[in-house]
Amino acid sequence: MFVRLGVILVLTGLIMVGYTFFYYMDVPKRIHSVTFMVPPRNKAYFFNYFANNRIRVIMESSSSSKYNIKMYSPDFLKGIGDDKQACIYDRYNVSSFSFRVDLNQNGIYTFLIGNPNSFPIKLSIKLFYLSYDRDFVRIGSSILILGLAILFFSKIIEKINGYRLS
Amino acid sequence: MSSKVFVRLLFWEFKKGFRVPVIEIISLLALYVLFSSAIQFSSSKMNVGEIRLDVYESFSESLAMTLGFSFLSLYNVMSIVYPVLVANSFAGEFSRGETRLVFSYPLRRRDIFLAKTISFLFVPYLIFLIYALFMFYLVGFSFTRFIPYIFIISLIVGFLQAFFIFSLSLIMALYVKDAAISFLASVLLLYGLDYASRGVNPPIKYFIPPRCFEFVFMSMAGRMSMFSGYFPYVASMYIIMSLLFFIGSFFYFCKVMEV
Repeated sequence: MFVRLGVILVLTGLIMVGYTFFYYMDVPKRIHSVTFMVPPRNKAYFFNYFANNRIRVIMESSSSSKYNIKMYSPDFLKGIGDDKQACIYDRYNVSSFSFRVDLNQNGIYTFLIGNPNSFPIKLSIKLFYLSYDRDFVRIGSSILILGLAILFFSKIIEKINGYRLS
Repeated sequence: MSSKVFVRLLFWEFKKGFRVPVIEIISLLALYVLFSSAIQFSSSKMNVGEIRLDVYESFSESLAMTLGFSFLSLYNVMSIVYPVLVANSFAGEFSRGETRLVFSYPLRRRDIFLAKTISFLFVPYLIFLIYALFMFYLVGFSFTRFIPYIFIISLIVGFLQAFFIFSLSLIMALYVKDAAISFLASVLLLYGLDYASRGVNPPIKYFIPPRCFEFVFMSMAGRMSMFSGYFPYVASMYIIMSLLFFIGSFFYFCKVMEV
């Protein structure tokens, strides 16, 4: 029974790690983009659902006009009604065609984009997954190691006792 | 018969039915189907719009719908797993002459039938359930903050789907009494229904498996605006049909079948 459990865990871990690895090898699956308008003297929100900690956000605007970004940490949405200022992760004032930021924490980031100009800004946001999803790989490899440990110790105990564990 | 003997019978059926590669293969098929949709969800969602207080609810609903559909997409896996198990256990044992041997023991047929049913219906479903809950946890959903009622609906509809496939395979195995032919007949029928459901338009489409289970799931989750009036008919039709298959098999196995 322990051997079977170990084998199931090893295969589960292998599938998780292998599938994640091969899934992210396909580059088009690692890039997602969306384009939207920020109205004049107004704000727009953008969420990235399930950013893993290897994600790069690239924002491209149609002109070099100024706009500002408030980036809220994943705690922001969890703590609605609490102190929102405490959740501001970073602020940026952008005045170029392209802006880039790397996220380093898992979860839903919220971007509040403010347009102080008297004309709308067209923004194109690209999410680029730099690498595999670390959570999946981490949990998959943990399951793999757990399965190997169960297999290994069941074999050792089998040798010591002289019979198979059931 | 004491409950102790029944439990031993249950374990015996379990050990016999789920030999070494069986559970492993079921687990891996379930993992592959569920994990592929979980990873697609984790890397594809983003939204632009106003920030709302219920953003987490809408997000959790969307996640639960995705995982619910991935759970129902186990139809293809179930269409292989249940016919194999049932054909091997009921028809295979009959053709090998093992049923005659088992019936010669001081065991009631009812208990043998129930032990087989519990083993072969609930154990694969339990494996699917464990992997579905694991995926639910893996993609970061919090069980404490919101009640994942949509996902629970999908588990119930998934059980109805499993019960339908099991009952159909059961009646086929008892009717044909040959493992290979009953397996082929069940699988071809289930896949044929799947193929047929793609070629017809709603609302007839929603009466054919596996679309009928997706339809019931979406109606129960409140996501079906058109044709939702058909929901009680579709749900009751498949519940009654599965029960009829199951009860018919039970009476045939216990009262009529000659070995």
